[in-house]
Amino acid sequence: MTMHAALIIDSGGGWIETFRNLCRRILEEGGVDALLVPQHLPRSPMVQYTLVRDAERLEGVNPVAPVLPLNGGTLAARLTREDPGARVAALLRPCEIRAFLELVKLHQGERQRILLLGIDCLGTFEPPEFQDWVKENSSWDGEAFLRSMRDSGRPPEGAPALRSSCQVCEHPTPEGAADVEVWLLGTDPDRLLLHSTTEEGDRLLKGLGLDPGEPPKGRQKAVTSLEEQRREARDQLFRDVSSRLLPLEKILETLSSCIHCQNCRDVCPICYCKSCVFQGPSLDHPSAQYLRWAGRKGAIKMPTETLFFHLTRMAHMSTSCVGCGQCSSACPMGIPVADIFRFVGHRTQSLFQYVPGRDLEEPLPLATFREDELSPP
Amino acid sequence: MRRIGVYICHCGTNIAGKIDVEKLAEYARGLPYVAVARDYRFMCSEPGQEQIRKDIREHGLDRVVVAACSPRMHEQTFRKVCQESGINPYFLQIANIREQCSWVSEDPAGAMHKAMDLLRAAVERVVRHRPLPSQEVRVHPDVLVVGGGIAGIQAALDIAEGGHRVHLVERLQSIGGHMAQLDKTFPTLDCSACILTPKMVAAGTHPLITLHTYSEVADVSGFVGNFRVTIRHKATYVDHKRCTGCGICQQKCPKRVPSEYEEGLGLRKAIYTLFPQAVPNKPVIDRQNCIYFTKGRCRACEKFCEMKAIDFHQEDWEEVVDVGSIIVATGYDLMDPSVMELYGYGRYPNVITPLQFERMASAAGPTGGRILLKDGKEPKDVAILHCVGSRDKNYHEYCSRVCCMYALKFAHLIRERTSANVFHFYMDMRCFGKGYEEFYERVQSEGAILIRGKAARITDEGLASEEEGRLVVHAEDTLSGESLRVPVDLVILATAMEPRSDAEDVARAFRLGRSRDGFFLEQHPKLAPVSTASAGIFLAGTCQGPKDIPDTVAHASAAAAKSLSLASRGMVEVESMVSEIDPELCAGCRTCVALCPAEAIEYLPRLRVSRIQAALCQGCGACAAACPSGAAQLKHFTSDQILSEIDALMGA
Amino acid sequence: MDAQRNDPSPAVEMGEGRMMDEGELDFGFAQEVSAEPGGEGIVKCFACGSCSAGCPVRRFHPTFNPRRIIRMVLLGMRDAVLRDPFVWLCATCFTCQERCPQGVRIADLMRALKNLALRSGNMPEGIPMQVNLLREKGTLYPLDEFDNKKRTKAGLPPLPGAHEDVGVLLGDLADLGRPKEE
Ligand SMILES: Cc1cc2nc3c(=O)[nH]c(=O)nc-3n(C[C@H](O)[C@H](O)[C@H](O)COP(=O)(O)OP(=O)(O)OC[C@H]3O[C@@H](n4cnc5c(N)ncnc54)[C@H](O)[C@@H]3O)c2cc1C
Ligand code: SF4
Ligand code: SF4
Ligand code: SF4
Ligand code: SF4
Repeated sequence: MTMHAALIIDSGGGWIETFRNLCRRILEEGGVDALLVPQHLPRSPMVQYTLVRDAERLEGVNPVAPVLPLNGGTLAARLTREDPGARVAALLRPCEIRAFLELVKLHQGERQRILLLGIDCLGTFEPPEFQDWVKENSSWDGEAFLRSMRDSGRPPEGAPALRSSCQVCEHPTPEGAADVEVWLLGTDPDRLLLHSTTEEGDRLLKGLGLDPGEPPKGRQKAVTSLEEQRREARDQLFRDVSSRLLPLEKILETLSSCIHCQNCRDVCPICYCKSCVFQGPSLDHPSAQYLRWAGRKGAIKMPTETLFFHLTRMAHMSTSCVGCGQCSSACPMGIPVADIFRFVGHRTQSLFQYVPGRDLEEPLPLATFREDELSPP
Repeated sequence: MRRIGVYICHCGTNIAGKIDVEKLAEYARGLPYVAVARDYRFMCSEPGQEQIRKDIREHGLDRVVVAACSPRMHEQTFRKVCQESGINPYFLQIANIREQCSWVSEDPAGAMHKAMDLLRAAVERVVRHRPLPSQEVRVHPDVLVVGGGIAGIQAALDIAEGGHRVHLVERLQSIGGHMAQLDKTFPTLDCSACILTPKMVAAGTHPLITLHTYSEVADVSGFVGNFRVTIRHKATYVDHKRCTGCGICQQKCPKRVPSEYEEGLGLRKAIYTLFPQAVPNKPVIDRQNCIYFTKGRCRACEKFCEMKAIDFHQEDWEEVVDVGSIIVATGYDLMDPSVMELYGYGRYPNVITPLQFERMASAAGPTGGRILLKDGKEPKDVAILHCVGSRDKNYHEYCSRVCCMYALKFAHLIRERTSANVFHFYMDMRCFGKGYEEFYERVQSEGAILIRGKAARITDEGLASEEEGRLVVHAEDTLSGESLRVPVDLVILATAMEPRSDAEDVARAFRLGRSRDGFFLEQHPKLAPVSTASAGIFLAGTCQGPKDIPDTVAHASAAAAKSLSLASRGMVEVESMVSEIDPELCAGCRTCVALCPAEAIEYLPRLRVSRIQAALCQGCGACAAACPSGAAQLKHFTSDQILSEIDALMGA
Repeated sequence: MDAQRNDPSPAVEMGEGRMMDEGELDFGFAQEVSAEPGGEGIVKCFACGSCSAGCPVRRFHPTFNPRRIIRMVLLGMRDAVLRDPFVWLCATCFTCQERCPQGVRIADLMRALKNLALRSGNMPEGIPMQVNLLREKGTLYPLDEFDNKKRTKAGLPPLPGAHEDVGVLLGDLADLGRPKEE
């Protein structure tokens, strides 16, 4: 049920061009009616997701532009909540796939309704930094990043640093959660490597007339070594966060600049509520209440309840946090929200031996009863 | 503008002894919305209640706060007061300043401080209370009885006689329970089978009783009035519709195994009925021992069955029934005395259990009613040890309530059938029932030898040659102070009745509590001995605690009356404090659906929201706690109510 | 059946032939014993006799009967219990305690009674002698030069004799062993 296929990279076109062609063939011959892929917007280095039905509209496709303006897991859920009435495929990064699977568990989307192409992720930049870098660097070429990461494991000279969440992401590959995986790690530079992990994926590759081939030899090693490096970085981050956050009062310091704009929860793929409790009636206090609080304490920070907001969000979703880092990217006050959430999430998730987005069969920890839960192993 | 009345109870000196109630009332008068605040000696007394009614009338109060004992005690009382005075009963809040304050605080100043906090929180909360309606649901007329011992049989018969359908589920292939194993029954010595069989037959043939034997309850859902029960029927490998109960299969089956019903003293076949008067009197195949099932050959039963009733391909199957109430009558286990090594059960063949004795005494039993030793000889001396495993901190602290009496019954049977001496080793002779003391006297006059002292040990160490091969009981006769060693031939251990080994699973399935002794917990030991904490689920017989047959039957009839009264009223009031989902906020994630223990939440795919069926909701609040968007809210415990209460608690 | 012991003259007459006057009983005694470590469960005794029936001392001594001692405590027979030497006979084998269905800690109770007896000045002669030994030599089994020589040979350091801490540990008891100066 797994199959491996390699496309020879068009001479002259390069990896990205080969991938664009692949997208075209998927739409034309692969039995797929619509494809969700990131494309460069006209006259902009920035990429955004586009939902393409016309195979002629793929000129800007670039799956390796190192930027993630939003977590596409939300989009995949949006496209599959009801029957979309056509065959849809989407190209997503691992953290997006994992977010999507969490949303499927939360009944916000449906796995069967979409064909997932998952791509190895070598890391992304903060969108403004990426934009600035490209502007200054007129010779920027979409593949330079790919080459540099593959060769040295580092972004090219002069590029900004990867986002903190990416630096500590120990899931750089789709890990079998997509139908077809697009491999970058440990592969030949002159090959575009596809790998199917489900029957659906098989069918797609065969439908495209691709012949089964041998998997690349260096793959496993490249993946393991990157994961290892990321895990080390992650543990370092946890140590940093714990010295910044603990004892608990310190968390107040870190969060004290929060202006309660709720950007973090708006962009969070896991925060699926139609409307946040913090916008609902329970926390909509009468004016006199604020004066009473101010009276009680002498002075209070406005807006109030920013700590309560973050603790509540943690309580609701930290077991599902996939660490995509969108919250940090979205925070206008530069609060490292994602660092905090990964730190807390890692603990709550290990409490239930839960890895968000790993497997649809694994129930959400807060939505099941287990007799032995929380008892020491 | 709300108008709140605050009432502070002295509770004699229970509260007023620690808290300055007048000052507390004064404090209450300064809180927002408070129109009147009073303190009184006993708020729950008629004059106390009347004061509230009067104030509601005269001061136009629309909210009431009572600072007194736990709401467990008097919330209902004061809700009724509100209702009688024309305001919604849920416009009440209790501040528990007794259990949570005066009783547990040593320092009066601290207690006063805490009482003020609790009171302030109650006031802040009560202004946010919303009126809740009272509601009723229909009761399904049928009843489920689990366990077909004398308790289950009696309850089923009473209900069926009352005109309602009963599903009687019994784990074994016949109803009857332990009583079917007994020979004679104290104190009147009527033969157990003679009084039990007619009831078994009546239950087996009653048009309103459906027997589900060789079956167990696999799942229970729903709540009082509307339970849905899944019954799992174990494969019998005999088509009971075809089988006439002729018994030829049992004659022909070549495989013999020790009979559980005969307590291992006799043998049965691999295809067998429990006993000759079984109801239904149809055999089942014991798969573990059947030669065909274990070795793939034989099928003797199939060959000889003229009705072609043997069906080796049968499988377990499930059936779902709807009922309005449930009676649990799963009975007891007899304790296994082999753990008490000093008594040598399992080591000395002539140390036996009381049920083994019952089978031996039964004319239909393995010895045809003769009292015999393992070597087939008649005993010359018999010891009966009382309180084996009962009234013993190392095993069961409780008194099993029947052992003294059956021990005396055994003495009578032994004296009647042999010339043996019978020695009782007892601590107290508990003969409390009607006719029991008289029976005790009768057995005494028949020559039973009574030694007041607990047997310490049984050995096989005879001192003289004539003691060779006998058993020696060591005890002190505490009345004379003499230490005794009594050589005997047969020892009967009057072992304790204990909770069924699977009581924990049954408790979980039926949402029952268990008392410290492990038996199922009744709602109130005196005033509600058959009800349980789960509305609509009742207890009958020894599953609730040790009982003799008269008490079991009375208890079972009481449970039947409870079920009948629910069924005959046809409606039952259900909780108003149920949860509700705001469809505007619900994201349809169905987390609540999976968590709801009452299966009260359904998902509406067209609207993409979940909805709670109020009639099924038990108000546990699991959904409200889990719902991240606050769409699910438990009425009377809404987020704004709880948050305002916490907020008020945290600061003046 | 044979009565193993038939003892005509128990040390303490308990009602036997003699009317006991209420005034001779001290109803606070049971409480006092309950307050001693080991005496707590005593009121729970329901006199089943398991203790006596298993007691090895009972088998050989005419008056020793743990069940009866408990009974006497419960009745308030303070003097009889504390004066009589029988409480000192307990071999502390714990057979009774293991078997007691009521969880009465009988062997511990015997120790509690010994403590009470001691406090009221009732004890067998051996006790002051032992205290004396402890205070003066530091051990119940006195060591002499011979022992220490053996130790030195074996490469072990010599053991000290009396240690002042022993006196501290003995506390009030230390005086017991001192010859009375009257
Ligand atoms: C040795 C002895 C002698 C006695 N003699 C006397 C006497 O002379 N007079 C007297 O008044 N009392 C006597 N008793 C007491 C008497 O046995 C009990 O009072 C009586 O049997 C209790 O009946 P019951 O229906 O509560 O329980 P049980 O007889 O135990 O019946 C329970 C039934 O439930 C079934 N069951 C259990 N669990 C399940 C389940 N999960 N699902 C379905 N079915 C289940 C069992 O198979 C059984 O049929 C004696 C007891 C003993 C031990
Ligand atoms: S909390 Fe932040 S890192 Fe976690 S899933 Fe949401 S957006 Fe991504
Ligand atoms: S995005 Fe930043 S400022 Fe806005 S609510 Fe989140 S943490 Fe606070
Ligand atoms: S409160 Fe919620 S979870 Fe609990 S029974 Fe009602 S609907 Fe179910
Ligand atoms: S501890 Fe003492 S009382 Fe107990 S059995 Fe041993 S000797 Fe007897």
